[in-house]
Amino acid sequence: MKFKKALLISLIFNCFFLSGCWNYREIEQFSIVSGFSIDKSENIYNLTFEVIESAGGRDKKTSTKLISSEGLTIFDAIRNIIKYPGKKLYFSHAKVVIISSEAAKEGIIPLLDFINRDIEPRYNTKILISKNIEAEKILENGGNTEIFCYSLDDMLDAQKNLSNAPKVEVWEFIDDLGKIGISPTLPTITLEKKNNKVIPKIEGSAVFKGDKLVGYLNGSETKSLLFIKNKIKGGLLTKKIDIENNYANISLEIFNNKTKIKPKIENNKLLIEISTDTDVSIGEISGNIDFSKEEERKKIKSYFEEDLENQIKDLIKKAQTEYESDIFGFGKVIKIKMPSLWKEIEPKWKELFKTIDVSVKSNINIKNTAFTSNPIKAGD
Amino acid sequence: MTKETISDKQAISMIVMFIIGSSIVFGVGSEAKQDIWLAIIIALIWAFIIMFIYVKIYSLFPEKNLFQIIDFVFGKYIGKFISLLYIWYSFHLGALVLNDTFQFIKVVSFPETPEYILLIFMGTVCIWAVKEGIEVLCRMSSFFIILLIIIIILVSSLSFSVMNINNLRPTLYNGINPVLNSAFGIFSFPFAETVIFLGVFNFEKSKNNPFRIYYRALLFGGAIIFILSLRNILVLGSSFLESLYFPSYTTVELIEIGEFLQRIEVAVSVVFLYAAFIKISSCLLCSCKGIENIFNLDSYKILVAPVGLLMMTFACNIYESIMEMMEWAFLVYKYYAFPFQVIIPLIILIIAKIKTKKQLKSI
Repeated sequence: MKFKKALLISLIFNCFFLSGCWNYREIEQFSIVSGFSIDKSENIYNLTFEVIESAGGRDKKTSTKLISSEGLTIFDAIRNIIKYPGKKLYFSHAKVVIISSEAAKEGIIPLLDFINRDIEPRYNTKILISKNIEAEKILENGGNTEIFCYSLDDMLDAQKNLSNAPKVEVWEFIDDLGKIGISPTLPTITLEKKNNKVIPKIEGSAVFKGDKLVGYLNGSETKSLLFIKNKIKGGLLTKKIDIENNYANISLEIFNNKTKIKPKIENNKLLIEISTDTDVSIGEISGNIDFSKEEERKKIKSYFEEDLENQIKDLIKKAQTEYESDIFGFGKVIKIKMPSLWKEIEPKWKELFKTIDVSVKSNINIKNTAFTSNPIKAGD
Repeated sequence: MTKETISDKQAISMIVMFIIGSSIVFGVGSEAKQDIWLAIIIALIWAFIIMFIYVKIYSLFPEKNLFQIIDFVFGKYIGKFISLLYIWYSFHLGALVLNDTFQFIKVVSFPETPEYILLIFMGTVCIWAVKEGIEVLCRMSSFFIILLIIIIILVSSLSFSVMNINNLRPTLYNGINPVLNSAFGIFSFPFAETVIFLGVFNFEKSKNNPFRIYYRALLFGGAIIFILSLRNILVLGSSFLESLYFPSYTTVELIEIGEFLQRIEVAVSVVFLYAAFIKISSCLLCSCKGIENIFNLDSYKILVAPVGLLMMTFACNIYESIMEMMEWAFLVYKYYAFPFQVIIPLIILIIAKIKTKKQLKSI
């Protein structure tokens, strides 16, 4: 009995000292990656990592540094990093991957396989495409933010108030890539000179066909794309309007949007009907249109509706003729709504998409006019 | 041997844990794609029919377990042979689940830890629990099932924000065949594996109602599997889901509520480990009871440690890699398990019916 008690006590006591993993590692033995970039030259991958260095103590401070390495595969490059700072990289806190457009043009699947397969990188890492510039350069011009890749992540999150770039996580991208009837898109990042400083700018999106990058959309085109994909969460609609020679620039703030895509057979032809229903408020009027009258409001409304319809139509035309890539997921919608028809047209969908008819109907509901009822007047 | 008594509720929770078992992380029936919910319902209906056989066997021979029934039905020699088959089945199933467990832990959390360390920890606990007897296992599962259900409900409700209803459409796009095929897979893993419990429980006629136990457990376990599979497909979509070994784990990984509530996928591992522990223990118990019956031993408890150790060694060497394991689990297993789950119980029931009728007549 005594022996048993002693054994039990020593076992419990040991729990405090022998706990943990098989080969535990202290945080100092790791380099925590906050994000990384992938470039490809010929057959060699060049990777640059932003690594968080934290100094403990009373005044806790985090700083980052960049390390690059190269290898035959992504994983090879990641492990080759050990040659330089001598630490193993730890990926579970990586939030952003920047892929250079040159590498993406040759196919993005080889670049993503590691992130998809390994357990450390998380599926909600976000992907960015560096437009016409090495991805490495973006990290180098990170500016003075504390952890640059985390601020990129915040920038992407904040895009919901601008809707000029999509926010795409690795798993969404892989799911879209694997599905038939939709091509994926990714946000793009470039460098721009501002106030004598080169700073990164996230705007627009990259269009894929299969797993290869084929072109870009600018900011406003991306907004139309998000409208079609029903992913608008906010942002502005801005337009110069003239009503009876009264000019004004008006901004509408989007609060809510619902887009419906409906495939239809009309006169033996496939027609895709897109209808958007947007709740907005008048956010700004620089001019003196009096919108307290219903008439005027209707005019504003119809101007904007027409504008939005045209933008969406233009984008669809561009995707059909220039990129020949179904980035809107029309095929997916047809598959869901008309499965029997899709079975027939699936093999020739790529051809069919180029010529498919699309009708767009936009509806904008002006819900309020923010804080004031009338524009500022100049009384003279 | 002292009589071990269990209540209906405890037995139900043990079977539910068994059903949740390894299916919670591996996911079931991914070849049905978006129609997985339909496949699960079909599998449940089949399982309900098969359960009828199991329950009938129980009610014909109350207070006996599978091996005693087999002895009675097939006579001494053929009976021993069929008992051996069942011992093999439960032993092999236990090893499979043990293998699942450490493969999962190895891939997800401890890639550098040697396999046998993980095995020893899981295996020893199972041996200990089985040595303590069925009562302990049952009481433990009736306690832990509450925890599991809370975790499952909490985690599933958190993933509402990432769900997309379009992932379920279109229904029956590829026809009914893949659905039936995957329903067959779901039927054999995990629902009809409950055949093991014929060898585990010795119900008391006055206290237990096998009909109620089996059907409630199946309904409950089936509902959990249904909810989890539906959640996985709603969040991940069929094309991404197919490529994953552990869909539940990934689904939970995607939950990100603000900056503070994320990385809760460990919750899935917790559920899995508890459920797998019950499953391994049930299989171990079943094979020990079978061996006890073959050799007419007084108690199976003396067998637990050697059989458990054998199971651990077997689990360690059964597959070369996780690819091989998946191939076996999703392609071969359903055909391999069919005789054990359906054919032999059916034969037992038919012969038993005839024999008992003859007995009645002769009196």
